[in-house]
Amino acid sequence: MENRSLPQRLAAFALSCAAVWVFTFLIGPEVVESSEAFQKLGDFIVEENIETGMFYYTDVEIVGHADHNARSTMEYMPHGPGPMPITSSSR
Amino acid sequence: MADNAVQQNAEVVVDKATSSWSDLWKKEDYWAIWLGFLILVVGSIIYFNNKPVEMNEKFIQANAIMEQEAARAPFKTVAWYEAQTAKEKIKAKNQPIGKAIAALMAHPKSWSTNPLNAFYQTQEQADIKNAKAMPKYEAAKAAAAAAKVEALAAQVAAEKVGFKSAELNSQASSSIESWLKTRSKESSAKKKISNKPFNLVPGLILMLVGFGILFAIGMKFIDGDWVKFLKGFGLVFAVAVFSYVMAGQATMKQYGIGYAAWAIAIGLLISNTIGTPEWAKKALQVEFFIKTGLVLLGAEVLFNKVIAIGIPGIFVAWVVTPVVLITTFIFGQKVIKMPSKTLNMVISADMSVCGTSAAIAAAAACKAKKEELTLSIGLSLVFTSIMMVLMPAIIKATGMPFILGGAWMGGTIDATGAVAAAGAFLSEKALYVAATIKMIQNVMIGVTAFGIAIYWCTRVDCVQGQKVHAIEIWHRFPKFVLGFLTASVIFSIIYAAIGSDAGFSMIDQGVLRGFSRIFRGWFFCLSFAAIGLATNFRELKHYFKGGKPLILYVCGQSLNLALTLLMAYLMFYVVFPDITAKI
Repeated sequence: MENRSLPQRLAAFALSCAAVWVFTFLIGPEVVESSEAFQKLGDFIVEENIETGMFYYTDVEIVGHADHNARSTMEYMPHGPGPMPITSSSR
Repeated sequence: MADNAVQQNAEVVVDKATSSWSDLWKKEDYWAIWLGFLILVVGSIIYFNNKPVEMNEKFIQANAIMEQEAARAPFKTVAWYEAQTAKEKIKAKNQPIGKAIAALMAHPKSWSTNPLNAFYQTQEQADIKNAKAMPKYEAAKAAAAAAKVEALAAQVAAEKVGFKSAELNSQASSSIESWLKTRSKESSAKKKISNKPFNLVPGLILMLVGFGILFAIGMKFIDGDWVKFLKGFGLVFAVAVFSYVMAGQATMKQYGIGYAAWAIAIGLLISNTIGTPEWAKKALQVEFFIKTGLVLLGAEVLFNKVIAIGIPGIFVAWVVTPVVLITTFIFGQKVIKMPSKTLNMVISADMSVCGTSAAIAAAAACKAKKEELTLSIGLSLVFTSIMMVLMPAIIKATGMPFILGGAWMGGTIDATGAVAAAGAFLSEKALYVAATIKMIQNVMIGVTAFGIAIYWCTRVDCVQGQKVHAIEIWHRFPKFVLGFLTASVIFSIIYAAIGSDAGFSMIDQGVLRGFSRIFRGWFFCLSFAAIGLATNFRELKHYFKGGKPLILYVCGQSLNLALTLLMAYLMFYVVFPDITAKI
């Protein structure tokens, strides 16, 4: 890198930025659209505005919702009379 | 105390094995602790003095309803869910001061085609978006209202026979689930009509100055070069801002490429083309940013979260994870013969625990090179994107129960955001289980970092056969880990002391999500930007030679997938089916 001239380095920088642009606006969306599974998941992510790139539980709003629900279920588990429902909700 | 000349190795994430009282104000590890604790104390003062109005009274009322409803029916009733939602809405960060902090320290927002939308939105643009989304919201609202009427009718029908009919109970439970789905859609649609104008530029400038001063104070005491640091900080901050911009782009969100990966990529792009300027190099304080971020992360490691989903969650997250971590590490050393022990450990932790956050903690604890952290995160990112798409498809295709599928994804997909997306895509139950399992794994970071640090001090950083004395362990131990663990212990104790409801509202949804997490995110982003700006492609390629890191990751992840699925099945369907039925 240190041996290259300034014009060469600037050209490399411009080319790299162009590559990022192509991936972001051309190749990236094409790959998503090429797979039905990816397209469906991708649309869902954008629709629900889920921060998929976040890596800790406090970064993701929906995890707080899941945490609260799980804790509530454990603390106030239904135990009323009668048989438990057998639902497709086991899925 | 031992003599010392504190040397900073720019390649590695820790300090030398010597100690002195002056370390408390001269060493980076301690400054990471002081700065981290300062932010945590300020956040605590702000939020504990701004409690939501009538918080405790509302908790008592909601809990009474939930207790009553839990005793009334063998399934969660409409009233149960409404009380739970009412409790969930009590969040300290929703107070005016919380909203002001969020607005001031916001990172660039989501955008699709115009990156300027990430920084600025006019009232007119907001009104157009709201108007466009209004018909869908009104339809969703009507659907939710209709579904609630149906759910209540089904519930009443079941109650009329004293909940003795399994069929009527099932119908009621299904109707309630349908209502929950429509209510969730209404909630999502409501967010889309709540657009407001914003301008992030003043906040970004304030953060540039504020963060710069914060770290410059530390630099002044660490090596005196605070002026040079400040001169270069602008570039590092600019890369961090641009990373958030790219992470917010719609297609990039679909791939799960977050700010960490972008910060490294943009930094690498600059350093390997036009070159990182000399005047910026003093600001590339990778270790300082990451250690301060880790001390803040410590406060988010709340041990109380471990019991969130009961014993099944503990087994899936805390039994499988250490088994996979240790097995993969030994496999990497003995079979694959990884040339670098630290790279082996970082990849093993990244893949088995919880992705990037575990990689950061492990890298800092075992003094890994920044190239090793970069490589590990890159591998994790690629496989996260693949697994996020493939796993829900496999679960649906095989007819796997969604709760089992959720546990499987939660224990194996690295990034929490990707786990949430994949889980929510399947069903709400899958989301609850997946996200909770991942959250419990996140809490493992504390134990993992401590364990790795101790192992490295006692077994790796010493001559073979030489006995390591306690004082030597102290000299070698990365001190910031103590700050990380202290923050974790203190906040876990406070959380337990004030009770889970107040803990959720004030700490989780207050001090942490409403304050310290924001700083932590920015500090990690600065660190990754600095890593990218300081890394040469050629050095990075060298670590990937022979493809051994890839082989290690694939083998370890295969074991993780198999073991997690087995344990999740045993725990959720064989040992504790009653817990599973009530989720």
